[in-house]
Amino acid sequence: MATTAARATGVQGSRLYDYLTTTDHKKIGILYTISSFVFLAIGGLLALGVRTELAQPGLQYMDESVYNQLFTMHASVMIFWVIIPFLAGIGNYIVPLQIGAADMAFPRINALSFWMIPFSGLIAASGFFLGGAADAGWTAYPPLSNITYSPGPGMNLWIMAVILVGTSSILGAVNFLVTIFRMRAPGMTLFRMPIMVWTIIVTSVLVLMGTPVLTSALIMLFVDRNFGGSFFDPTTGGSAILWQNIFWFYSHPAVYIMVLPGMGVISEIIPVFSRKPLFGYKAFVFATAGIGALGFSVWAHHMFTTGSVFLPFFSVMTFLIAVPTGVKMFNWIATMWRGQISFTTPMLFAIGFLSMFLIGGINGVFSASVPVDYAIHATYWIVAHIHYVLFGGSFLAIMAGIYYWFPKMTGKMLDEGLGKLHFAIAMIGLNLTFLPMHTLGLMGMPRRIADYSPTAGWNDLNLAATVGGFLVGISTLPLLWNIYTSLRNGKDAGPDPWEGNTLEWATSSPPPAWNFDRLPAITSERPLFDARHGRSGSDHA
Amino acid sequence: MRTPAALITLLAAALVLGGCQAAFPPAAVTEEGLLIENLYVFVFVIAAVVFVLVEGLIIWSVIRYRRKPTDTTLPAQTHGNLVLEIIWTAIPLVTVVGLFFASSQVLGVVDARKPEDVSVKVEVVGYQWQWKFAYPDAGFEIYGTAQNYPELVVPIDERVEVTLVAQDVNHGFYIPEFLFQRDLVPGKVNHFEFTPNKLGTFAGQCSAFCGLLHHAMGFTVRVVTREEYDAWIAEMTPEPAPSESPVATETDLTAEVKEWAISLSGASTAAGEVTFGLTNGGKIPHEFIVVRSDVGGEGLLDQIDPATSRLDEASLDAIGEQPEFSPGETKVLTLDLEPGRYVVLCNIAGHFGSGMYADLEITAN
Ligand code: HEM
Ligand SMILES: [Cu+2]
Ligand SMILES: [Cu+2]
Repeated sequence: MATTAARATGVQGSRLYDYLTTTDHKKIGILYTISSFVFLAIGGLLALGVRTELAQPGLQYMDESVYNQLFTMHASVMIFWVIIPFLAGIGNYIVPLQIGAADMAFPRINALSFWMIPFSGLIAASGFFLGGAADAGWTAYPPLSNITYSPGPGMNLWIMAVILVGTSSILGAVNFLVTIFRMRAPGMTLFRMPIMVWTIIVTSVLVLMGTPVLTSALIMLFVDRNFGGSFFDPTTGGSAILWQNIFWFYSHPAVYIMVLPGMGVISEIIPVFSRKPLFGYKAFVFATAGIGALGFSVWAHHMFTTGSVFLPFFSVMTFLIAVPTGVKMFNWIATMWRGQISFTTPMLFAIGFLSMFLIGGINGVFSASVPVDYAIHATYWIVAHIHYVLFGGSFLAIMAGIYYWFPKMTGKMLDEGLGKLHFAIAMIGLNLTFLPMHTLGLMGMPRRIADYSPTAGWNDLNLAATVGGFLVGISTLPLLWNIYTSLRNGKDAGPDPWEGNTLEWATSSPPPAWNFDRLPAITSERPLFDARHGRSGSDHA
Repeated sequence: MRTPAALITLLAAALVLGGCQAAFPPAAVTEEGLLIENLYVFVFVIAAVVFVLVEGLIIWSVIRYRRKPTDTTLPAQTHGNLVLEIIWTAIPLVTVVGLFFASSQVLGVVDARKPEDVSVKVEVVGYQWQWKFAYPDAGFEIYGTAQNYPELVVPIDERVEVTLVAQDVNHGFYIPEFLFQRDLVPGKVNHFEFTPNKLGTFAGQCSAFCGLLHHAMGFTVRVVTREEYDAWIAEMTPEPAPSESPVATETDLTAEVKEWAISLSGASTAAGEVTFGLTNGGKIPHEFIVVRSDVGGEGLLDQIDPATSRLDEASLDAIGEQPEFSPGETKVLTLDLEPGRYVVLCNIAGHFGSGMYADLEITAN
């Protein structure tokens, strides 16, 4: 926003006021994106703090108390204030355009959903200045998160903040569902919707079913802490395991909440830059729904080592959920197969997603095998897994989406050279950071430790991971510079710079407040392709 | 052309060899761990095949099907293929079902309970931020500190049963070379059994995040021969104290300590020599401290140090104490008490705050 405001010097006040009060889904989408970038900077710096301390054995830069706050807040910020809002923002901007609607169904609720995000983020972060942020891990397991063991204000602030994020997600989910089911343009049948829209439907259903459960758990924890409740306190008749069950009932589906829309983004980009339709459109829809359904039956795979889980059921379900994910992978590859691939920055990030998310899928299957999980659970192996899924998956998809839709959002092209530089550094940094963590985990380095013994043999790999982490940090500089210069003097994008398939490319860049002056005929899932090449170009094989 | 190719082959070989080291867990030192190690290798081989295949397909299509200047017409617009979809649903399905059955078999052995085969029983208690290892059959306990990690000693080739109890928050009992960990969960007792089959000392560490000094919860496991084990047990076992004769002592008050309460047989007694008959009726060790205090147990609750979850004993007027004793044990504690208000309590981290106290009034005769 800083840059957009700076451009409009004379009317700065009014431009700012416009964004502060807007109910336009496109402006709200941009607000989400900006807020996510700000929190990405915060979450990234927290990660660099963690990595700096771990670069060598010994506590050089902070004590355990600070370390625990850093890693707790890094994970929380990245999940609740970066990935989820980034995807909500892209969905906000793109979904109404892709279905040919003029706005979201409930524009004011939409604005409310957004403003809860920065507000709640500030609440959670304010702990740093009020005597200590939350430090019980983003999973906040009681009894550690109880008032006895986490007496500071950070934990209470964290609970309130996460409840707000959850509420924002629930409101957003209702809004998306009503918009998608009630406001599609004539001709836009369900099975002509872009896959992006389908993934937002499934994600919204997951949010509606999972988030209220998390909210109740958070309220129970809050009551335990502040009003003498004993839901999770075993010393007064509560159950510590109960929290883990409820928490993961939400937080496992949350992984899909964070990855399905990313898959949607990828499914938009790969066909466009391969000049082919998405291979197996319906298989994609069913696989997405299948992931959503199975997603609610695997939560206890986070609890295999607690001795309180019916292992065979959760193990087999966890294995099974790999299948629809595999189906998607093959369909993406089949889409590129015999295509004509151009290596634009969005496509590079999409290919990066394919090859990195593949690793995140495969190293996850290790944990589905209960005995293997006994060996790798709660070690750095899991940290590697989290990041190949969330960073190699969700985050690369988000970056692909930003490069892909930036021209639509601003009317300006991003610079390809800087984009490719960003991609190259990010890929090297990503693998240098997270590949060694598999080995660290196998060697026995537990996650969430502030320090390790210099004789454990973990020094070199930790140093490598820290160097990689700084590379990842550096990789965002070309992106920021790119955005800054492109907004000032980037090439004009025109309505459809990529030869896109879907409706957002049928209007000007950026689109007018009412989105479309005129809609093309919608007779397939690629209305713009049809308009460009005629329906005959897309004869069904 | 030749040299780069040779170089690349060399580099690849180095990577594969180095990678091999890095991609596998340490050699297992228990029978159960060995099964897990083999299962890991099995999963790894399948994973490697899938990875090479799929990553290969991605790289191949990206290189082979890049857009060339001659590509002026659209490529064939294929929308899908049902047979292919069925094939690439079925193959992963069969693969994961196979992995599931292989895992289930190993799980059956790793998680098996065979009380009749167990020859050594140890109890592991995790607390913020260290461990206690107890050998109930021999009647001694080992407390660790952050500077001096505790050592669990077990005989080779014999089945060991571990009982896991958390005293405050979740902890994780994890030994990388066992390829195994199990959580300690408050309010719940966990178990596992293992059979060590290599001599040596193996490092272990808490794996479940448990607060400030989580990283300092280290320990070691030393696997020795049966003879060394017997010698070690004999050396560790305390001499039976002569004063602990089972002759019934006259007691003025009896007290039962357990999770999470102390019940006294009376709320007051006369000043002078007071003899407490103590029983640990709980599942974990407790202590019994007699403190002189005018604010009573409720009042002392406010003085718990949140960082340690204990009372600062330096600031207490403690008259005497029975140090930690094990579940089922009875102890006798005799103290000279003046008239006044007292609190009896257990000051192990978290225990006092959880309710392990009782008020006691000593009246003048
Ligand atoms: C968008 C990108 C990222 C996301 C979504 C993300 C998310 C997460 C999550 C969910 C955790 C789990 C924390 C826990 O153990 O409870 C975590 C831990 C961690 N992250 Fe990230 N992360 C991202 C980027 C990074 C980067 C770039 C680095 C390296 C500089 C990094 C370094 C770490 C480390 C070292 C931990 C483990 C901390 C510990 O266990 O003590 N992360 N991250
Ligand atoms: Cu611990
Ligand atoms: Cu106690």
